[in-house]
Amino acid sequence: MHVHVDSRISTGREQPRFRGLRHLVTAIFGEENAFVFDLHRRRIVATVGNEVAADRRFWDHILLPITVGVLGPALGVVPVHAACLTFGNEGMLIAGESGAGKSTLSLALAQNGFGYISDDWSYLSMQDQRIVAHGLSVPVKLLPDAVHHFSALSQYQPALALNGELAYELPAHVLGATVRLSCKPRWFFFLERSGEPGFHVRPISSTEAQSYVERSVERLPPELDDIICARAEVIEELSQLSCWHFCYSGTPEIAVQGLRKFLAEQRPEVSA
Amino acid sequence: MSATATGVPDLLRRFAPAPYHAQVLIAGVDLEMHTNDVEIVAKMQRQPVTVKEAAPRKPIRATIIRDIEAPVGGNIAIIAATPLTTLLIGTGTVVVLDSELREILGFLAPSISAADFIDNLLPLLLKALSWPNAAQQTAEHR
Repeated sequence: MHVHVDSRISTGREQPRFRGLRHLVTAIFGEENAFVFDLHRRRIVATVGNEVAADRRFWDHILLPITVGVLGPALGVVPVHAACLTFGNEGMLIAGESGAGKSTLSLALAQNGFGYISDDWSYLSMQDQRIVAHGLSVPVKLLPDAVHHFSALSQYQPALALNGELAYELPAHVLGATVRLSCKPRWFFFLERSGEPGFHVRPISSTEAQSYVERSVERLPPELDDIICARAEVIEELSQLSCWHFCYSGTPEIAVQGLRKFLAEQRPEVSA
Repeated sequence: MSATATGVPDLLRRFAPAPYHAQVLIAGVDLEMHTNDVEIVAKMQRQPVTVKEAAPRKPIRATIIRDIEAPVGGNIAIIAATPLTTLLIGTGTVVVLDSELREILGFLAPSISAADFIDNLLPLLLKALSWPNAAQQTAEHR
């Protein structure tokens, strides 16, 4: 990363604007703080003002996830829109559309003995021919109505998040989660909220899982064919996990109880 | 996976079509332009004809997208770190020259006219091709 700090830049880190063509992606924050991501050379060139240069939260919580998201595929890391938790020593990914309740469920699970890795984006790589899922220790993001489920939130104020949403953004450990950095996932769940009472699980095929992930990852131009192929291999491996669709209605506790029971029933297979 | 085989929106505008093209010498550089803005191509075709060198280098391929949603205004700045030279005007205009791959890629805000781009901004960016140490140029052009 080549960063030029220019004291004449006076704008702070406002909402970023992203653009991309071929092997280059740009992110510009507040007019003059600019980052150019070069997927071909796995390199970043940037110019920032003193305010952004000194803002540790910006580098840790904003730029790092953006960097892994943009350059990750060029480095063998596949960003997947899924939460990640552990049950015992085994990992699970929970995918779902925005608003499906991944963050709320993740925190509820984390407050009930599950290890917490991420609530929204997980970063997959291959290690010894197995998928490893990583988190980035970024704050958990909860919408204002989450205060109904987590009373501890009432002592904090929601603020504008990077995507413009009003949200609580707090380190997961502050909310009682035991944070882990990575795991080897065994299960891949697809979360959907349901109007039907209770908790329901059904298996889904690897083809369905693969198709979902392929539809959700960022489109890359054909010039980056080697990166596209490497990513496709990770996605194919991901689809070989134990894949399930689950839905629930009501409070997150219903999902926690249902998921715990389901996983406990699955576990004898693990030791077998 | 092809670009069209997915429902993921093209938020970065990576797949914006650039159906118009022209090839002319600008600031002594052979430039092959691909763009979605017919005004840019028209302006290029009105450039004075220059005799090409006997053994011209591979042309620089430019892809320039007119970004009608981009915010306008802002200061001009150049970030140079070989082989990339980036020209910025606010958050809406960003044009990058990759001197190694001989490519120019960028987006123009609606406030940047085709004439301003061809006559002023492009020559400014193309100067980077002759800079011995591009990293030293960053401050001088702000």
